[in-house]
Amino acid sequence: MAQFWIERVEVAGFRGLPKLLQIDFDRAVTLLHGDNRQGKSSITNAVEWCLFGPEIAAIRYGEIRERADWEVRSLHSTKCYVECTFRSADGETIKARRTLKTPRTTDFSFETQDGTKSADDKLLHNLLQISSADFVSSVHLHPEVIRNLLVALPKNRKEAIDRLLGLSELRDLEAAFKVQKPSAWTSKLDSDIESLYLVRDSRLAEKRKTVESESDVLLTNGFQQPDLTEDGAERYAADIAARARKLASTFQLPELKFTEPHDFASLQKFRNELDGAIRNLQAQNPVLKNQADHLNRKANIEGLRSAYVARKNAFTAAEQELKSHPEVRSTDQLDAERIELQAQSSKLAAEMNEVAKNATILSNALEFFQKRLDAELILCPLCGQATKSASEWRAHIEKEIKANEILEALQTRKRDLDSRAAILDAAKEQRLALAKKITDEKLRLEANIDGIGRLLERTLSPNDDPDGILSSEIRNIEDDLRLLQNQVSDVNAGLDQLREASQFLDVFARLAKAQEEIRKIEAISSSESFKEVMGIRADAEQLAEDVELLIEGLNSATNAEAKKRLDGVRASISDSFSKITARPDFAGLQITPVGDDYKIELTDNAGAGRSALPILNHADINCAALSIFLSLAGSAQISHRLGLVMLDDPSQSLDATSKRNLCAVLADLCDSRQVIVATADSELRNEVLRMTKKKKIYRLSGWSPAEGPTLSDEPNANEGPTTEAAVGTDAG
Amino acid sequence: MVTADEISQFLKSRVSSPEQDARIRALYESAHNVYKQRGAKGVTDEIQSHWTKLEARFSKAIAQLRKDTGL
Repeated sequence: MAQFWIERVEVAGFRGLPKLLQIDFDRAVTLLHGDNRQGKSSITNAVEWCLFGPEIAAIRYGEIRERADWEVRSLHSTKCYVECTFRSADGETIKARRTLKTPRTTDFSFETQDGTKSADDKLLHNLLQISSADFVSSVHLHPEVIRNLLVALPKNRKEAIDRLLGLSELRDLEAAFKVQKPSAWTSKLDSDIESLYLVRDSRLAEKRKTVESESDVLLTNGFQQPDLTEDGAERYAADIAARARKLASTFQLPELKFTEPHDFASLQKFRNELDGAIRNLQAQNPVLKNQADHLNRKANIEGLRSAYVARKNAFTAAEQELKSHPEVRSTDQLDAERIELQAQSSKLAAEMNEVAKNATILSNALEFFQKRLDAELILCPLCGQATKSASEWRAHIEKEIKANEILEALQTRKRDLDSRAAILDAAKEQRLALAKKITDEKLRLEANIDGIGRLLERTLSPNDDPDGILSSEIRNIEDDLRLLQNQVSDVNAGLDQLREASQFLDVFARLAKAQEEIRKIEAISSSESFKEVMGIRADAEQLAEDVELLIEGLNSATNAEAKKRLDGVRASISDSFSKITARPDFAGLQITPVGDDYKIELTDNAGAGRSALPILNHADINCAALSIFLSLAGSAQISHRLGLVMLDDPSQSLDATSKRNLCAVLADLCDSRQVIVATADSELRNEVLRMTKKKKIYRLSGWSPAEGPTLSDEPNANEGPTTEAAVGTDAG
Repeated sequence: MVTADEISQFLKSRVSSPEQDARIRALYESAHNVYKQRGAKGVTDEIQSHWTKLEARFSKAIAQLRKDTGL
């Protein structure tokens, strides 16, 4: 497939290029020359930003993240975009444009000559078969790439050289599989299975403990180890059933029927039936029934006797209360005396009314006289005593008449009479209440005695002593109960033995249940759902193993391919190094893949190799890196379709001879690759000018923050006329 | 590009059976096709999706096992 080269870049508002700038590139060589801070790197960076956008800023190349804090948009521009036109040897063109939307997002679009349009930059990457990592390692030779090639960590050096060797796809595939960490997949599943096993083992231990403890109970109670089986439990159940039937026969009760157990599962049913049978034997046994009847009758009689004694005491107490009451007169006598007192009281009331009436008349007359005689000397009509005022005269007259004294005496007598009448009335009420209480208690006592008669089935005469009769009856019952006691003990002993024996059936049942659960837990591993889980786990393990092996295979393939491809360019690398450095002591440079690294050695004239890094100075390291990069970038092994190399300030630390030699190597390279060089180095510029290849030479100068650089064609660089490139057009 | 046959050759002594060899070949070829269409992220997404389905099947199966056995 034909490779693409850059035909034109149109850029505005990008980093150090605030104004619109259009740069046409030569198919062979393009030189961007100018002092530092004139926008050369902004042009080369514009190409990678157009292709990869924010991804290129985020790329971590070894330990270096030079673009991480890029200020993409020029501070003096409102818009920021880059448009690149690529052309292939077949004449096919691709136009890609990226515009900054927000500080972190962009709008992208590209269009091919055949009319394909898309806003997906991944499609363009697929078309060019290039990733951002490929670009920064095999297209754009930046100073940090040089360092990575030789002095970086082995893994970063390996990645850089692998990509130069066109092994990006194998590396990407390996990395894509490694992202998933397949070795961790099964760990998570195993963790779930392990927790399941833990629960299972814990349950098993618990059930086994139950089996052990229940077995101990049976063994310590006379059972033998061979009895602790299903058959043993059945035999024991049959024995208990026989004993229950025998007991029923002894009690002369109907024969008992059981569903005798045939396995552990039916043991509980038998146990329940046995419980019912024991309850029936107890309830229907004649001796126990007789005893129960006696006990019931005794309890009833004792109850009646207690009630009788209580009633009798209450009645006697009521009688005693009436007898001991302080008022001994009858209610009739009390009534007669009260009536007499009330009559006297009424008479006094009439008298008091009369006195009060006269007193009122007198008071009114006195009032009348007081009004008339006020301020006159007044004489008392009764004793002739002189008074000084009408009020004094009135007080004197009232004293003479003594009406108030009479009234007070009458009132005192009346209160006394009324009080006595009230006392009599209260005494009468108390006596009546006591009499009623006696009547009520008597009725209750009679009802109690009737109850006693009914229980004893005889009529009690008033001369009978119910307490004595009941006490005698209780003694008779107690005699009967004593006579029954031996029979009752025998019966209860038989039933207790049966109950006790049945307790061991519970032990057998718990033992059986635990044994059954153990069998179920042990059978889990052969269940369908367990097999399903383990099947999926096996699938997961298989997938993880396959992926791990594939990663291993990809790694081996990468190394093998690297070796094969290096063999193809070994001589070229060595020659380039020899040409650029022209060292007399070491004729060449060799790169050999070793594990996860590349061994870089200098070879002396005898062909012996020595590790390069301890020997080379700073300039030689750059020469070595350039030799490797240019040889590999120019080889046919490159897997992507960008047939260009961009060298940003490649002549660092090189002397004049090395720069000349570098240009000789570049002259060879531009037969197969477009070469773009950005440099501030005039010696290098002059060497490029001397190259006999077709080229474009641009000078960048006069940079200002608001206007950016002035871009001009260098004279004598091209066969065509010298022209000022399109500059100064406002990016907006 | 390296072929599935070449990958297989590198793993000749490591694979346990012809079936595993066939699976790894298929895995590689499938990943290669996905890479061509969707890049490295597409391969990562594809294998992640495969694993996620497997994991979901496992979760369902183990939930059923717990239900069946009371564990």
